[in-house]
Amino acid sequence: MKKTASVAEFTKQFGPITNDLAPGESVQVTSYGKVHGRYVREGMPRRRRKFDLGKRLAQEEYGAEAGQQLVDAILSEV
Amino acid sequence: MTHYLDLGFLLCLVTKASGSPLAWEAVRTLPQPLPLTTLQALQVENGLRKRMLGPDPKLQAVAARAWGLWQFYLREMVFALTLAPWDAAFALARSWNERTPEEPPTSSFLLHPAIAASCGCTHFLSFQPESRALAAAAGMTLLPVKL
Repeated sequence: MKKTASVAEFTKQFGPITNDLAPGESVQVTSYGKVHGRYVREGMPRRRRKFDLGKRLAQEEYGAEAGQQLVDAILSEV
Repeated sequence: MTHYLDLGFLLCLVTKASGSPLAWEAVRTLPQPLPLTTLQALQVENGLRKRMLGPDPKLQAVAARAWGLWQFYLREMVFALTLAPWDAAFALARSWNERTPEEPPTSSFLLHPAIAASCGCTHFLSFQPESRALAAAAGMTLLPVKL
């Protein structure tokens, strides 16, 4: 990931440059080759350990058919 | 927020359903917590509570399990609430509603891709064809890639 951007790059490509930043990560913004400032991404801290959603859900004892009925019932009302 | 999970997709992460394996695969590499807006949370919680307190015992049991998992994921910061530019999202949903040449999707299926677009999301995670079409037209990458 690019950690340095010129003022022109930063203003014209704000989304592509900043969207992939994790909370707390930063980009150095340079003007005429010198560091002008630093943009730090706000946001929530990451979990230290990722949770395996699939493994947890696979432990459920009901069948996928019953679960799909629930999903369909909820979606039919929104 | 770069990835937006709509209601049906989110439900497949807390309920064992036919779309669940695809949903797990799509979020497997994403950083946690997965950010959610209050609308997503409200729709999941309202849908589950309605079934938990509804007349069908089978749905009651599945909804109760899903509710427990949902609460657990919130506590463990697998999901976390974030802010959204609501005025811009609703304005975009209204404009899509007026512009569709055919019968428009229901408001919820308009609103989810509109929120995602207003938040600047790059990816839209959904199994809903109407919402996926709007998200794709707004320039977002769809996950899963094919239904």
